[in-house]
Amino acid sequence: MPINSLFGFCSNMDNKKLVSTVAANLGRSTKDVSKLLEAFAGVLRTRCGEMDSVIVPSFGTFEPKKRNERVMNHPSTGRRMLVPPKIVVGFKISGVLKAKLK
Amino acid sequence: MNAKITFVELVDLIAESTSTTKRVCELFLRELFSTVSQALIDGEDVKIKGVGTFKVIHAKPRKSVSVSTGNAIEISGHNKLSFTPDKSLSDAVNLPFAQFETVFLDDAMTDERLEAIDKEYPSLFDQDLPAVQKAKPTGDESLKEPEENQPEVEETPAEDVKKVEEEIPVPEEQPVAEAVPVEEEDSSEPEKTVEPAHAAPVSRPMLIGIPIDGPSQPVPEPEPVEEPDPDEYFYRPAPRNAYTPTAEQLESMPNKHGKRMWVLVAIGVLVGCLLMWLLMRSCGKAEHSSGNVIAADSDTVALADEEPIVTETITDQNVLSTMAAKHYGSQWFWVYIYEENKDKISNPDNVPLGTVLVIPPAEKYGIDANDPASLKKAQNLSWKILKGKN
Repeated sequence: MPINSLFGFCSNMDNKKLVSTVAANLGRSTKDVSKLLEAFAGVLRTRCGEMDSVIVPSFGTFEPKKRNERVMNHPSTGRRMLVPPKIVVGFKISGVLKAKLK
Repeated sequence: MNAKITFVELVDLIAESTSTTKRVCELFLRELFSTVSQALIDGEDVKIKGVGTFKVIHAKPRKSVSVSTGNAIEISGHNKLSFTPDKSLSDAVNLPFAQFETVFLDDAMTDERLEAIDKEYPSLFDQDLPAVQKAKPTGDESLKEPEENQPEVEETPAEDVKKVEEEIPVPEEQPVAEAVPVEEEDSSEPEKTVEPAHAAPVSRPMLIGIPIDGPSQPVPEPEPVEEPDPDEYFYRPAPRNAYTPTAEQLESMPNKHGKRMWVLVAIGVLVGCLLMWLLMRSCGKAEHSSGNVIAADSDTVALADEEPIVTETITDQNVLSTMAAKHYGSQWFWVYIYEENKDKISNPDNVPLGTVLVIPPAEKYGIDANDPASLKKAQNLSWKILKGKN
């Protein structure tokens, strides 16, 4: 049993713990589960890279968003700079999970 | 493109990429997200490799004003979920814009001028076409830059001409010694006659506009060392067209940013220049071999010398920088693809769709994405090429 699970509430779930928990619940090996998880991450990368949003029911939506270029001042030097446009991945929480978290 | 991937499709995609059954994938996804949800409800942060980190953040109760009645109300405290994408995910998604960097603006670039540019070149950012969307900032940057520098650019040509004239006597003594370029000229001529076939009428703006960062221009130092280089560029037959502007540029740069001394960068450039000169020599040979390939068969993987040559075709999604990122690990190395295919590319910002390009082997130009010096060299080179084009 991992030490951090003894501390209950203050522990965070890292990737290792997530994989082992899911593997235990599914009755599959951690190797299989991490392979599936990597595949999920791969699908997310390619689909979001094509500006598609990925919906996971009762969890939320991963959606890429375009951010326009903008002019801003450097926080410390005060010099003006042009920040380039970019695409960021946003996550929109589903109503179900939001209600549970409240 | 702006499609919504439903759970069923997601299951299909994962089943396909892992070659397992849909049933397994569906169970896995359900279990994964119920585990994550449960952990979040328990107040834990969840980090998923390749996806990102989910954190529950408590928002304190705060006072506000009701929009409809105008009465003071209190918004009760609640938990919010924050998501920070994993570096690999955000990089993959931002790939089309990855080559842009934050640019410091000169004092000369006032708000009014920026507004004028915005009006003149209305934003195409929200359009759905990826090629247009990518090209817009490219065009924007390159349009801004020349305007910014115009007064300075006007000063330089006269000096350039003088310098060129001064240099003429020197190379005239050299041709006898340099027997190689003469051979290159012979080989490059048939190649030029084949070229027009590649100039498709449809052209799209291409994705390589690298923002020109005023302060980091690595220019002032290298001048003395680069002096001998222009001779090479001017009088070497094969690459002369593309390199004449570069050489002029090198000479005109110190006038623009003489005050900025970036010692480290300059050292990098000195080394870079030396390597570039060597590279130019091998480039001539490269054109020789690529010329043969074109004459033989331009669409397929062909053999030239002893190595198989990899080719790529320009499309909406596949442009110089994406090819470089794919083959070499960094989009900065587009310059070498450009070097290799200079005879087919008149403007790296605007390569006709359907152009078939030869991807040179990484060793040929010393390409190494993990080596900062190699990366820096490519950046400097791309900066010079773009500056020469503008």
